[in-house]
Amino acid sequence: MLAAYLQKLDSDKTNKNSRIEQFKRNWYKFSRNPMNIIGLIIVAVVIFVTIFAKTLAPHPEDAGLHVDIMNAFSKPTLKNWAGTDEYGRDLFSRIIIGLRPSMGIAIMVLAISVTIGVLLGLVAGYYKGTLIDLLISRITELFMSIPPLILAMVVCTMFSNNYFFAAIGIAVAWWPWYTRITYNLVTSLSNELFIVYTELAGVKMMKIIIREMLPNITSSILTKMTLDTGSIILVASSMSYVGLGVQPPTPSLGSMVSEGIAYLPEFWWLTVMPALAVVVIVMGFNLLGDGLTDVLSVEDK
Amino acid sequence: MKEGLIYVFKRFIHILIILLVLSFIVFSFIRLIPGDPVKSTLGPLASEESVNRMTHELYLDRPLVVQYGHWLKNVVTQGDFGKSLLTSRPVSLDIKEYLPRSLELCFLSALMILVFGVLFGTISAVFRNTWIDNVIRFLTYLGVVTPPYAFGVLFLLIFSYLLKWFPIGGLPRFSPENVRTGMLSIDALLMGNFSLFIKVLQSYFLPCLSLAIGSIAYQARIHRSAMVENVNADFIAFAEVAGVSKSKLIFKHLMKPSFIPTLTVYGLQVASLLGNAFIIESMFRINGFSQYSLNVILNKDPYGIVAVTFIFGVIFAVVNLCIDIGVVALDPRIRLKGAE
Repeated sequence: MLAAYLQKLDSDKTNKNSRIEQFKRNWYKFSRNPMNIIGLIIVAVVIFVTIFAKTLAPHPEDAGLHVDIMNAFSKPTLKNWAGTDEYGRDLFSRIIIGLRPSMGIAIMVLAISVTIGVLLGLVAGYYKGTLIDLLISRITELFMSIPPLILAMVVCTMFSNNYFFAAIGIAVAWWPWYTRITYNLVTSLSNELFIVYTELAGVKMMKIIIREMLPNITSSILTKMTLDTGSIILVASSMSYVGLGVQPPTPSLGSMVSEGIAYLPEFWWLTVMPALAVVVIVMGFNLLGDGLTDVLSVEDK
Repeated sequence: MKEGLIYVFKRFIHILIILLVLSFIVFSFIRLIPGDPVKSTLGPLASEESVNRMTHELYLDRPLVVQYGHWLKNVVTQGDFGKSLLTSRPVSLDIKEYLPRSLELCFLSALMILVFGVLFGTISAVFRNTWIDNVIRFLTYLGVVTPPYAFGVLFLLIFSYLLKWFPIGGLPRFSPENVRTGMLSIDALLMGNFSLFIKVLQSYFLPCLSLAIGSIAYQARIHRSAMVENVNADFIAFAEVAGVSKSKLIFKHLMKPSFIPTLTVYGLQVASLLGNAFIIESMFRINGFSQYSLNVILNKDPYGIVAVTFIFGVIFAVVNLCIDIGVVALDPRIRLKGAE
């Protein structure tokens, strides 16, 4: 009894050590490409700024209906890094605070669509070739048969045009992709030798899926989640561009661009600055996602 | 050939079923809209009688199945999609007015995506790991992460306001008797007015480019990686050993198999163009179908929403069917598997 326990403790320890080793190896591969590091830094800064937006913003009161006409339409200066808008509100503060709803929507969409998508993908892969598989793939196909942006907008307006239902709307259009990727991963894994052997050893299918398959697909799912964060921020900003999602006076990146269009070309910073913010954020998540893909796919081989 | 036809036929039936289920779901969904759409359109002062009459006229007081059956019958027999509460005229008339312009916009964008995406992808693959490749890869990366509205703003600022090469927005106006197809460039050609045709293309250039550029970048990346993957394939080595010339090797042996992933991605990109066009349409003041569908959705116009989602479903399905046929034509293995 005690011997078995000690042995287990020992194996846990070596397991832990080898995991640290593996992490070090992966980190080395990851850090050799400067683009990956840039991506990581951008994402870290974005997350930090999102959490402490209210404290970091130089003029937190400008998030609301604050008016300072004397300062209206100021060019980007040392005092207002990104200039001010038609009410004299500091654009830099508004962009920082506008990050919050974008990130919030991305987190909600990922939480919902990964849960539903991966679950359905696992179930469909588990019951491959049966009626359940057929049913799930048909439902998935149905949700993929109209453009995602249109689907998200319909869902958002049907219920209530706010931040929460914007996220629900995007999630409704997003989960099928996770079902599809999980299904493909599970079906290709089921031909792998280690799965075939565990099956032969008489391990229950459900246990195989949870203990053997799920750990093997997490890296692919996590990479996709990183890449998707950027895409969701893009979609959410497109929706807020037409007034769906976060409602004024709360700033959001898309609505800031659309409001600024009226003041082109003289007051270009009203549109260029928030658009630039979107580009940098999305690029950060894409760089990080690509870096993870490279490292993890090499590890797979 | 025979198995190809069977495959296409199967896909066609499949699409029909999907469209039927989709429209039925949207119908039942619309019943769930909180608030009465008729009441909100007629306003609070409308008499109960007129609200009831309108509700009856729109089949909103009948059971769901009856309403759906009636709608489907009218769509199939007369192409009638019901009456829009927003514009208070048949939805089919609205579609006829707005759709051609958007289709024109998307068609031109799709053309740009195919030509430039494949062009840059091929250049990048042929000169891989040189500075040309690196520059293209960097630019396509920027293209993928930048939203279309940001490109729109940028192009407007540079090419319209600063350089004044293109109009700031809007399309040339046509007198009603000259509108035949609704697609402005074709109408201009039908009028025999070539300078107007050039003017139409000029007005379309910036919106099309803003809409297409993200997809061009993505397409170029996909095409590059498809070509690079095939460079190491056995059949290319054999062809090289057999003494096939370099240009023939690139354009015949390498291009054809590389088009399979390219086409699949291309289908997805083109199918979603129309759904993504609403921002570009509003930015460049093109009164098109995307704008219309956005208005319909924002105003919760029941028959409008059903028609719009149905049209989007049809376009998605048709584009995907065309792509499937293209892939089947390129790859005999998929053809045989699909017919089983």
